[in-house]
Amino acid sequence: MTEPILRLENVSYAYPDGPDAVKNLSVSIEKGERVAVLGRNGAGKSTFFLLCNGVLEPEAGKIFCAGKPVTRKKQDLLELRRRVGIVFQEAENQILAVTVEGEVSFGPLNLGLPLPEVERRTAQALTAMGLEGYAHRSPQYLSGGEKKRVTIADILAREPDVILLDEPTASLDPENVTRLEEILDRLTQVGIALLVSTHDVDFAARFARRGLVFNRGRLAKDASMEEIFADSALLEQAGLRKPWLWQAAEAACPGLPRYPLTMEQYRLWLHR
Amino acid sequence: MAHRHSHGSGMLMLDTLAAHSGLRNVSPGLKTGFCVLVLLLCVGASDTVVGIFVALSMVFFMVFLGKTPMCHIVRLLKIPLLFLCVSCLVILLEVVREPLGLWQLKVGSWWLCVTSESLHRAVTLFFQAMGAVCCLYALSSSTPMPQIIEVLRRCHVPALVIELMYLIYRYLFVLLEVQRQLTVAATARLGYVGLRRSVSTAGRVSGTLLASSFRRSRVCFDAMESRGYDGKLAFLSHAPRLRPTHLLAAAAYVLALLGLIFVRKGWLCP
Ligand SMILES: Nc1ncnc2c1ncn2[C@@H]1O[C@H](COP(=O)(O)OP(=O)(O)O)[C@@H](O)[C@H]1O
Ligand SMILES: [Mg+2]
Repeated sequence: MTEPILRLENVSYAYPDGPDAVKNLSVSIEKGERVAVLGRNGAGKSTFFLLCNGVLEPEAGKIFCAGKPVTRKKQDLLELRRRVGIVFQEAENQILAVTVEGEVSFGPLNLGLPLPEVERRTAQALTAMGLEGYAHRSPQYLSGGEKKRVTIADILAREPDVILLDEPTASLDPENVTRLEEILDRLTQVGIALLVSTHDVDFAARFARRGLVFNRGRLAKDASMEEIFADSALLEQAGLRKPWLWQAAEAACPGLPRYPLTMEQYRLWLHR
Repeated sequence: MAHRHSHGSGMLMLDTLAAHSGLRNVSPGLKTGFCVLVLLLCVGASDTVVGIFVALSMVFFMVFLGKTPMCHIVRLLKIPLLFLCVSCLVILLEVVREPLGLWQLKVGSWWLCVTSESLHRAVTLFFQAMGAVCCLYALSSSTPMPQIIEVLRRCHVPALVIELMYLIYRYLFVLLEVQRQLTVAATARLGYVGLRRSVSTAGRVSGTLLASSFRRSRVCFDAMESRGYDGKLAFLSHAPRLRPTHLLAAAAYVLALLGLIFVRKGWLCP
């Protein structure tokens, strides 16, 4: 059996002036997985992400990166940050440089790579995000969707194994959400594991097979999306609802244990 | 008002102009060196004709090579022009006990006079300064700020200063956007009706801006750390290359300017 890329074992964290933001969390992420991270505001999703990449130091518990325990040694942290990247919720908070090319090159430059390699990765990440002509543009004149793609290119240029996206759909219009879903599909194809936190259960249902439900800092459920949406008590507790497709199918034919989550499943279900 | 939305004012306007300038493909090092050299010559020469020549040629460069619309140049020049007029007026007038010179006005027991020397001094200073101002505008309306910062880096300005310049420049736009949103929100709730309320609303907007900046700085630092930042801020940058034709053109202009200065100073025919 191969080691999971990322594993958290009984991890807890509290901000200096608050109660535990993440409590006794154990979870593991396999290579190339797609996981939705669900929960209401303040449930601890962002804190979980910051712990996964070593920006926050767990107060208790351990983090394993490809089987190796991560200590607070600089070497370990840099290795963890190379393998696990976060796309922050607000692009404005992440974008640092004054040109798109400069911005995307910041990550690989921090890896201490030689310049030609930095240039190759920057160009490749820009191409992968459909930003070929944007290298010399200033970030302040980009649209919201373009900024989001720049922040994903930022992380992609570091060639990570896992990308954590913190509420990526929150500031996007429907067209850009569709575009984001295509981008996420391509990232999965090249073998990158994706964790996406969101409130948008319809998006989550399309995106993932596995879901993590957070409630007040605790991992309330780690299961398949069908199991999560079949558990009404859990959804109520965590402030979530069932996806519209699921609700529509349930209204048409109540009493079944599970219903379709994606359009494709819905079509099959109709002709069952 | 119509222009406010498309170009903003001051700094923002220069930024937009630089991004679209016809001279944006000229090496920023050359532009910076050229403008600084011409500025020094113009200030050093301290001569009306040289000042006029530099001011006009810089405006010519901006309009015909930079393709910057004349109305924007006029808008940019308005503020320094006003400032210059006031300061030159002060130099133009001399306060003396006895009437003398070209023009006099009695104020109480004193006379305000314009003498030929003071007139000469004021006019020279005015055009000298205009030339210098036009040089700086020619540089900043054709060269994006990041490229100027890169030039400074190559001139061995300390890394800390360079990194601060980058971050300040970047977050200026972020803050301006937040400030704009707060102001719109306050205006929508009639926060800017009447002077007293305007002042108190502006105060509150600034306070909120400061608080949100503090909060933001923490998240920004987290984002930097998560991308492996460990004390050194480095970005890739591709500035336009130096081209021989551009270098020759700049050299030709500087020679012509030197020639003019020599003629004006009478150094050519002893
Ligand atoms: N920088 C911070 N300082 C103090 N408390 C924080 C900070 N960030 C988040 N918290 C608190 O930690 C808890 C979890 O927040 P967060 O992880 O941001 O939740 P989510 O991303 O799910 O909305 C919340 O109660 C929040 O108030
Ligand atoms: Mg969050």
